[in-house]
Amino acid sequence: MAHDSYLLMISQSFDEILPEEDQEVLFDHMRSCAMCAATWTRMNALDRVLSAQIEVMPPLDFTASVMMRVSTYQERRKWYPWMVATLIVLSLLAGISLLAPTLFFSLGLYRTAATWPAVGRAVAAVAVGFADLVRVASFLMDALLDWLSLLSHDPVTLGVVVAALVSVSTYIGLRETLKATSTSEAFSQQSA
Amino acid sequence: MEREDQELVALLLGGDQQAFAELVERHQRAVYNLTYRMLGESREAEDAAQEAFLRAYQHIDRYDPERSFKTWLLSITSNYCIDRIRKRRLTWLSLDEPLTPHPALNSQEGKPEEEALGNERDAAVHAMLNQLAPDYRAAVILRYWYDMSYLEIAEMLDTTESAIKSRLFRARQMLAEEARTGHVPGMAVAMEGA
Repeated sequence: MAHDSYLLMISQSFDEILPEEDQEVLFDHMRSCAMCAATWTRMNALDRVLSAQIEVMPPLDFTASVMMRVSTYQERRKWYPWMVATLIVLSLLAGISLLAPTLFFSLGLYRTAATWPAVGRAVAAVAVGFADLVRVASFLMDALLDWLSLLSHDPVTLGVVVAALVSVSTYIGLRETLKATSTSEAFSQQSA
Repeated sequence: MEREDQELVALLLGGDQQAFAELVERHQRAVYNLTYRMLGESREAEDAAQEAFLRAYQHIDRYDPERSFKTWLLSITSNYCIDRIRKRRLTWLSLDEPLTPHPALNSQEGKPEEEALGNERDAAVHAMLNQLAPDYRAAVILRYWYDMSYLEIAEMLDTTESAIKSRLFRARQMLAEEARTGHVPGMAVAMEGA
């Protein structure tokens, strides 16, 4: 018989499931095999160490902590139906917003709609609004480009702007550090 | 008179939250000990034990009253711990920092010698168990601390009896080999004292 079979028998003997005749075979083998005998000794010591472990106690407020988690879970669960309803409504809206324009153009509904005076007025108003928007955006873009061009050609202005940005960010950083320090001091005083 | 677990589960299914608190009170030690042995750190063990109870609460409608409630609960706990160890390994394997010693090794000052020795042995056992893969570790813990049969362990870990037999055999072989080579700190001392 191979060594692995005897090692398996050793393991089973510690679980007390090895038949008596196999137990005899195992002990006969161990009398003549130093390696298996040494493994048995080590596994026996291991078996004792593992069996002798003491019980550890959970913290005193364990049940209260579990019940707190349960109550948080229940609170969250109250919102589930609302979340599901919101998701359904949003999915429907997304579906409609994708489907409506497709149908509008693929079925040729736009031709009929174009003959209605109200639609013509609405399209005109949208076009005018869009043109105004483009004008404002273009004005802002020009102003920005002028400003950048001024900065790149005038080192004094560039220096003033960089100095102002550095001062403002330093001020904000200092203010936040002071706030954090006073909060941690108050917390350590409370803990003490 | 103390009520049966099944009776408490029935009350809980009827909406009685106090029944669940009673179940927690009754089984907290078994669950906490399992998470502690599996994870080896008291704070993490507490969190895992609480999570296991919460999972039991969430799936209480799936509990089969024909089975023991404790076995069902420990099954949830051991599977949760196995998942947790696997996730933890994925996070930690990339780090080269040495592992922090077990808390028991940090707080021996001023304690009686016997307690310090017990802590040392406890830490050595954790170090030994840490050498094993999570599903091997679960099999060893359920066998030694909960005195469960192969069949019970197999049911809990959703596997076969022969797989459990093989896991226990391999786990013992690995631990015996570790003891021989002396790679695990404190193991030789723990085994000498046994």
